[in-house]
Amino acid sequence: MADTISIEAKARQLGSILKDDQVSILAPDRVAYSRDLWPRGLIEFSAGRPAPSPPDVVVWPETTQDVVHLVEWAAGTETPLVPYGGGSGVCGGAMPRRGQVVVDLKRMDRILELDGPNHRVRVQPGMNGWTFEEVLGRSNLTMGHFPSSIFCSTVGGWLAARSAGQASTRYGKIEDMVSGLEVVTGKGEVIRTGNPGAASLGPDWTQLFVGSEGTLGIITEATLKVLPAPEMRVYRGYGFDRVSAGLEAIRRFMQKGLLPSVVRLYDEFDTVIARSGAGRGSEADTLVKEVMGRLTHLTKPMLPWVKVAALRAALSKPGWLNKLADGLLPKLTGQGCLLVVGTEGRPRLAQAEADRIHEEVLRAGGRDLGPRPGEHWEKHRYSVSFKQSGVFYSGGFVDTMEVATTWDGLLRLYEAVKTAVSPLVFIMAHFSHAYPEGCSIYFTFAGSSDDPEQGLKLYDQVWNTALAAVTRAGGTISHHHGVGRSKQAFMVEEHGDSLELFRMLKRVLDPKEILNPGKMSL
Amino acid sequence: MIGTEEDVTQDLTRAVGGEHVSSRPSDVMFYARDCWARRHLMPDDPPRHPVWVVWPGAASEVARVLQVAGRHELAVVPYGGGSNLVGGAGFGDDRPVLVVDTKRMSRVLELDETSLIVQAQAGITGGDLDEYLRVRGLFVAHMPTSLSQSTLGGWLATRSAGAFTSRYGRIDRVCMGITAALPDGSVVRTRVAPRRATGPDLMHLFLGSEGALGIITAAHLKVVRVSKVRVWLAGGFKELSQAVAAMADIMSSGTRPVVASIADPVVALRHSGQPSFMLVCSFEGDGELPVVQRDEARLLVLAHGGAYLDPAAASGFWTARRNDVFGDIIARAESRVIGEVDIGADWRHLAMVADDARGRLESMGCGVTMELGFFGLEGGALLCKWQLPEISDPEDVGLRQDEALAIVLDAARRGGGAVAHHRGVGRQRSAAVRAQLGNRFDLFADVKRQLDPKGLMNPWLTEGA
Amino acid sequence: MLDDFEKELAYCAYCPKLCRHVCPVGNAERRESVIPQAKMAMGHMARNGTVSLTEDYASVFFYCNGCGLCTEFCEHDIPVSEVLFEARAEAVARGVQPKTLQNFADRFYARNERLVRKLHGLVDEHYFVEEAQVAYMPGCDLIDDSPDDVQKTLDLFAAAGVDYVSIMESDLVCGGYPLWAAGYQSEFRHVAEEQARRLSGYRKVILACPACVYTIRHVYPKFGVNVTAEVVHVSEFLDTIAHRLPVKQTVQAAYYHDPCYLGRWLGVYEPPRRLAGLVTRKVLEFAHNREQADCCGGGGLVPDVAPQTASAIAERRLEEPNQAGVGVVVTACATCVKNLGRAGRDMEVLDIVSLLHRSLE
Repeated sequence: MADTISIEAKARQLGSILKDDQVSILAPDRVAYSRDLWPRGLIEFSAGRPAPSPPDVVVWPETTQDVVHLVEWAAGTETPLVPYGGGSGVCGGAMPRRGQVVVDLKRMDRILELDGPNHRVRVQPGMNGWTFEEVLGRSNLTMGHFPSSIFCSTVGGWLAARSAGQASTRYGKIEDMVSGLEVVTGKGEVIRTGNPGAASLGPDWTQLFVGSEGTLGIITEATLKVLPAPEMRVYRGYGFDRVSAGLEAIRRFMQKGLLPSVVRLYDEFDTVIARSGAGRGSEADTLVKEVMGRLTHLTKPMLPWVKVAALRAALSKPGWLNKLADGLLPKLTGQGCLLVVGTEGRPRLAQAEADRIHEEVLRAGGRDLGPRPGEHWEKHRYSVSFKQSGVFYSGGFVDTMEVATTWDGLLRLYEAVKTAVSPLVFIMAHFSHAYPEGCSIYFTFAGSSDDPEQGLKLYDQVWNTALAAVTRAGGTISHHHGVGRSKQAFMVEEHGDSLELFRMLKRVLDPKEILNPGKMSL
Repeated sequence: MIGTEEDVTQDLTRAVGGEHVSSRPSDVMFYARDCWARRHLMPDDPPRHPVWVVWPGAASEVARVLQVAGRHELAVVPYGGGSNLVGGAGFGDDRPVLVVDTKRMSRVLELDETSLIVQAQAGITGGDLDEYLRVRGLFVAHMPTSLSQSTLGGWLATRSAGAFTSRYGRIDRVCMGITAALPDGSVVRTRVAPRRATGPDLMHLFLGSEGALGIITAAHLKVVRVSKVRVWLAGGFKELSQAVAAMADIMSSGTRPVVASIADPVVALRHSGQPSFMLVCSFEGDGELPVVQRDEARLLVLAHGGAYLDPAAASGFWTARRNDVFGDIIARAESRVIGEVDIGADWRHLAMVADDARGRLESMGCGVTMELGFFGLEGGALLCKWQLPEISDPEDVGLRQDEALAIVLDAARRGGGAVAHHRGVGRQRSAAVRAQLGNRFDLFADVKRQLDPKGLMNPWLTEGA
Repeated sequence: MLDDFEKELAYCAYCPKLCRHVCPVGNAERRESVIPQAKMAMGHMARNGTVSLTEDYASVFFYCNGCGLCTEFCEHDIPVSEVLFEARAEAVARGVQPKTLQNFADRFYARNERLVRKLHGLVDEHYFVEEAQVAYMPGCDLIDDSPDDVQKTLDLFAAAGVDYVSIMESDLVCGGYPLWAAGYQSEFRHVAEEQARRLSGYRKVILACPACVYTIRHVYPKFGVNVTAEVVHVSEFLDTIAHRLPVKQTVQAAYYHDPCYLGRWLGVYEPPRRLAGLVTRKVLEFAHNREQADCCGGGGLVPDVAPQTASAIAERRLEEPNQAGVGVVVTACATCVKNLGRAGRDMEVLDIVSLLHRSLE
């Protein structure tokens, strides 16, 4: 049994399977790999618990065969393995527990074949997202996959968690871009999925491994689609009085078969953030401070009694803040909701597509705001992630929840979550991944408490409340961040009896339960 | 089998009602085969027929039927339109066979016109579903040539492709969720969301599983609004490789053709008057966009050395292709000398595979026509049709047919492509597909053992695994 | 400890790893504990007492080239390497620096002594002129690893009619960057004070080592040490006299590699490019150049602490010229020449001085 082998013995055994420099039990490594970017872990961190459950050993396989040997060893010793890419997941999916071995795949980061004529690339899972796009760009190609984690996440992580990028409306999510995988199962078998015009017999294994978050197999290679890099991008911003009107506009053009690369509709509060200056030199260096600052600025002339106290004090009355946002903000700013639409591709197509969308949006009541909001967005498209630090530094926490549902239930879902969560934390949302059949909602919530322990309680309460509201309203609990640990309690509500099928796959592919156990409610 | 035929009939009657169970020869004989032409050439192997046919009306009834099948350890063959061309609905198991005909489950369960999603029972035929939607200004983005004969369940079970696949993807991209009855008699539903990140997309267990894991009883499909504008593009090419290269560029250009095909010179001649390979695309939508898309695609045709042909040649090809279907099926079913198969290859190899197959078939004395279509970003399918030379000895016909099929499958393999593209595996090529799937086939068999430990469902599919 | 950087450490600790993709050490090691975010988080934890600083924990501070690319990328402009060098000092103060850096000051002085002797053997005594106003200071790595470049530099000065440059008279050949980078701050302060006195005896001092130019210009003042002489890099000086150099094209194509301290830290991008352009038909740019240039792996004492990592970084940097089939990389830093040169077996990596000198040959 795993627990009966000492850390040193594990390292010795692994050292005989791999080279010495592929195995570590160094203290800083065990600390660094003890968590991913699950914000709950950050609250724990701020409470002085940086590594509540460090892995015993960290290993760096360099080949598929290395992974096979690791899995065989793990099966033999019943030691769980936790695959690890950029460690940028926000749901605890890559968090190990004591006794477990973290398998960092970042040394498998090569492009194996760039096949331009067939519009595909074979790549190893440890490839960094930004580096990948850079390399493709040199051949005038793109994946079209731009998650806001692109600097820190890996291809393998994208696939494991069904990632979505900012241009997913045009290019799809990662599951739409992948056409084949090489996976090492919990039995140590190497499965290669997919081929052009795949034969029908049997499941589409690619679609079963994608999103399994390392619980069914370790991805060791992927074949992904690539497209010619766009020659032109066209952005345009529109104003709407209400979220519902903006959503209706999006629905209309999506159902006309139009395919913008970027669709982002911000609710009233998020609009303030989206239009604000960001980045370097910005006075307000936290997301919430910025909101507060703007609010103060906006309300000062009209409501002299609104004295926005310290950030913490404000966040401790989120209900008040949310109500203020709902009721006053649109009137004060005169902005209402901002919709940013971008098209791209060959110049004539990008322009023609933009023109068609423009007509549809105006017809749906949108006010033309010109190209600037979109250009602003593009310039600051990754800036929001930088703001996390400030919130945590000032004693608050911030997290995001991305849910989705079909158009008929979208507004209901939006309202349900806002209503449920508003008394607890400050909440705002944007709608950023649109499909003909529905859309995702990206909620950002920020809260605060007197100390980290209470913060943890509040954080958990918020998530439980929010996810319960999501499932009651018929939404999916995750559009593209995955489940990991943070959402696993809601997997039954999410999948109903079909969850048993996932569990069946687990029995088939990982009978000894050595692959990322304790995740996804398996 | 456990128990007598009488017992089974009684149990089935309890499950679905007496009027929906039959053992009458006039019924069961029709379920002995589907549209696999090769079956006709097996005189020494007269098709066996099932003992029972049942027509359940809902998922719960299918579940009860499967409970009966489990109790008596019958072999179960799900049956939709019976339009399969590869012998998917045949059976050779020694156990008595129960056919579950899904066609009584033919209702539309819900049409969400806000989200453009239809939920329908699996036994609805493509024709009925299409008609239901068309009058509402909608259509299912799936248009197989067998539309009017095939069922939704059949499409899903074979992961079918259709004329609009190049734009909307195969049926697995059109489908958003399914309801299936499992061999243990339970019913499972996969949930519908535009996209999600909550584990594997579990409906994919059943899509393409050809009835081996359970019976799909209903599905949610995306539907599309009928476009106001459709414009056609036709390009003529001397070489197939040029046409393929042009199509590859069109598919990655963002022009998003709906219909996309490359026709043989023989076929093209009828429509364009030119004996060249003809690239055919339609662009659909409203406003100016389809025209811009067509113009951009036309540039790509010219860039690859193609000649711009009268668009009427393209629409003519399309109309003929749709109208030919019925005649074609009769011809296929009755003819002993015509054969055809669908294979897949990537862009680099499509023309090579086509030339390879054509060359070897012609040296057998066959007449050959090809159509390339069902494109994705990485490649597409090759529909290869051949006509054997006159053969005096009828016994020889079967062997020659097998030889021709082997040639085409081998060409696919040599080009690194797929020996089965979108018409299912069936009997026709189960060995070839198994070989190509390698350990994925064993995995499939493992899953089947989990879901169907008694091996009720289409047991021959995983025989020997 | 590290009290001046409380906010910086916390910001990095809470950051979603947004600069990990540019960290040369992180990219070479692919180890989560040595990406900037994790190194800074370690500092944060050490500062607030969550971990007690052992040699293991402290080791991560030394996995930094000081290249500054993370800061370039950071929307909070957090000076990660500066903070980490400060953390190194903390490690040294507690005696938990890496084994390879123990007694580093002694070795620094021993090497210095050796190099002083070597320098005197490299050039004629007449280059050491009393009362000179302008001096040339070659620096450790140039003397040690590219000794010919010392005379070549002097030749170039002469060829441009500049005959007034003396070699700096000092018993220290270095401005002290290695001591600062190693966290030996009291020794560094001592060297800085000593060297400042000597430097201030001149009006202008021309340095070959970008790291020491940076150290003298920007680090000395933080230690309260001021230098009155104008301190410039040799490429900046050559750029002002280049119009008098006899030049001819001796190389078809060469990539120019920006040394981190010369480029990002000092903002000197164009002078060495102009110089290279005088003798090279085509000066090629790395995809990552100027502000975005990748490190050669030689800075921050990483070669001392993790030699394989330093080589891996250099190999990665050379991938691009290798793939392009270009065999020459020119730069303006002896440390870069050394570290890239070791990695590029089939690659000619040379200092701009060496390249210019060919015109004289």
